[in-house]
Amino acid sequence: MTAFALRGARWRRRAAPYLLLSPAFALMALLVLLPVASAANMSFYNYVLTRPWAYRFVGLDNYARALADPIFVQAIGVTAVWIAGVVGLQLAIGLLFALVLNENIRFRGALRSLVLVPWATPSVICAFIFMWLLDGNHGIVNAILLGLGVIAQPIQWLSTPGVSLWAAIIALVWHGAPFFAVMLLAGLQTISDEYYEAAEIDGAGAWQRFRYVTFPLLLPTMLVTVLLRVIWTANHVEIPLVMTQGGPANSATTLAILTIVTARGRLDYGYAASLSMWLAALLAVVAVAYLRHRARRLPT
Amino acid sequence: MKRSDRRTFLKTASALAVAGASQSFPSPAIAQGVRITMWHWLTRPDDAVWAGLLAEWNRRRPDLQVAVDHVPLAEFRQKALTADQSGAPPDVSRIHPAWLGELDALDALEPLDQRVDGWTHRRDLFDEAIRVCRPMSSRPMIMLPILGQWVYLAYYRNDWLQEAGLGVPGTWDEYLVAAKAMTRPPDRFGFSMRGGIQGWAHGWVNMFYAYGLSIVDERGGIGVNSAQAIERNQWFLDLYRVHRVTAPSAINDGFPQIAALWRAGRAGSFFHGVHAQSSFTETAGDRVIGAPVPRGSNAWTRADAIGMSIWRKSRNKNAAWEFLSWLLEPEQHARINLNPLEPNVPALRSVAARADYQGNRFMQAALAQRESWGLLPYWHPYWAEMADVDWHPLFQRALQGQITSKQMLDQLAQGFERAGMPRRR
Repeated sequence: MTAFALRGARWRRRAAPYLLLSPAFALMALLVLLPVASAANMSFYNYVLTRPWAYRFVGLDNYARALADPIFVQAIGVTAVWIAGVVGLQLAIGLLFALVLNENIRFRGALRSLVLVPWATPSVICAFIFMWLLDGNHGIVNAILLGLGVIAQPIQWLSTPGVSLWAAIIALVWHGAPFFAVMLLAGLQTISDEYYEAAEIDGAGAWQRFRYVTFPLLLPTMLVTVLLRVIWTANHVEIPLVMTQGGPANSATTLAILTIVTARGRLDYGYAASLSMWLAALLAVVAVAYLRHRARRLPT
Repeated sequence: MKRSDRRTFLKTASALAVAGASQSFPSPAIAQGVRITMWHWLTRPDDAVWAGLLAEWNRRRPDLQVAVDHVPLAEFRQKALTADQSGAPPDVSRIHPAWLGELDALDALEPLDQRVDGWTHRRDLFDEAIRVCRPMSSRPMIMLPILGQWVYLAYYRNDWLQEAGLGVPGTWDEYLVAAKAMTRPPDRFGFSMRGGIQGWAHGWVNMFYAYGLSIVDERGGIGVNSAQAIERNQWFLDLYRVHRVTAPSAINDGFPQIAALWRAGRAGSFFHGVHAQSSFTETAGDRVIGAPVPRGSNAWTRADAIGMSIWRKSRNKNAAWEFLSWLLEPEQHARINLNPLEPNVPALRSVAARADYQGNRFMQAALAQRESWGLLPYWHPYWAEMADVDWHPLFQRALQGQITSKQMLDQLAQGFERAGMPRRR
């Protein structure tokens, strides 16, 4: 074989992965990078759909405007509560479901299918279901609590600042907990029984087996699931928007809702793009923290 | 075939083709078969009237087919404006009056005065119906009142008023007395206040104009935060804060919650267009009456229109006009405006005179207050934004006492001031 032919074969071997990945890269560039770059570019312009004559480059003005906007500052806090509430509760409930469904219980197959029902429900439908369940005048939740004597007056779930956000959190927890359950169940099934047997021989009880075997081995799956849910929850608008309209008095306005209201109601695409960039930047901090954590744990 | 035979054949074929074509394309305005797009939203998904009309048109006019895209109202403004800015709006669409000002400033809609002036039924149109189709009195007509006029009424549970020994409130002060008398918490609330999005439309704005107040006038004068406006706004806030004549959920209630209160027989009064009558009579039937909106220093009620327009960038304006003017003809206009799911005050005199309208008590109440019909400053560039985005969070904060009536109105005034007077593209 000539040196030329050898070089050709080596080049082909090196290039093959890139060639095989190139369709996926091209699609990513078209569907993800291009829109993100377009939104980033838009954020530097005064781009209000109803005032095309005022379209001009404004540099970082839209970003500065956000910092001076009290609703934006409030929305950051609301978003933090929203993410922590939704992801924290989904993780706790999802983990509980996963642990139960991992046990050798009766009807396990049927239960594993049933647990996916909320996940399969369209989020707008879920929002309407919870909106009426929690309705301050006719909701069944209030009726039950009143009937049990737990409350003396109906709770205005959707009309009380602070409470309305938690009403939306409950709805999204119901909707999204199955995702955690399925992911964590898959993670649990990769843990070899040998670890549990060894722990039992060492005299470990149920809690200790969970604490020293299940939890550390499940942690990578939990972290990646949490990261994904943090990103999805931060961008989620349907449930809180339908249930609360971001209110009352913007008390349930997350950054994602503020962005969509700015784009859809004010038709101020430049400012809305800057808000979405702020949100992306905040999420990037979470993603980078996760990646650094992963990098530290990977063998070198 | 001989040459003469061929000529005869070709002549005959041409004549037949022309005759056929003239039957298929009855209008000189349509040179060839065209397809126009119509963007539409339905107030009720089970509305069969529009589907029937469109099927009929498409059956009658194979040369001019109308393709309908249903766009939800909540998305409509943004999608339509985006489509227009990118050069591909629909040929015709439904238009909300609150968008007229910004669409006029963008020159997005086709002026229609000339076409309407030459239309067969021009004299049958009420003057008010033409007025609502202009963003300002000095601007062209850019909409057709195909869906009649949205006249606002005060809806009352008459049996509750009678129970309290009261008549229909004539003034806003009498209204407060009635609302208090009808309130028996937790089962009955005198006023179903809408504190959520678009809540300004249901009582608040009627009360403002009934006291001769102006939110913003055509010269640019901003009156929304005048001393008297602040006082009246406080009066309205106190319906919730002090007098407690509203449901406790009122602060974030939207129309679905209000309709649920009426269905459950727990609401005593509300202000809404004549088109919404079925939402209030579903449970209480004839016990619900429609009455003129209370007077302040004068009588005033909102009477605007959701209409239909031709988009300026349409390449089929003549075809679009043929279709829209057909919808506005008396027969079709009656079907649209007698639609039990969305009845409206007709824009045509001949249709208003029909027995169906004369027998509808809500229509009668709406027509009886014709002298007080008024328009909102939809021409202002801030109006749509104020109505969709800013009003309800400010109102909700004022309802909670986080800000005062003055602070709420000052912030609205700032919005009007920032946006400035309309400019043309």
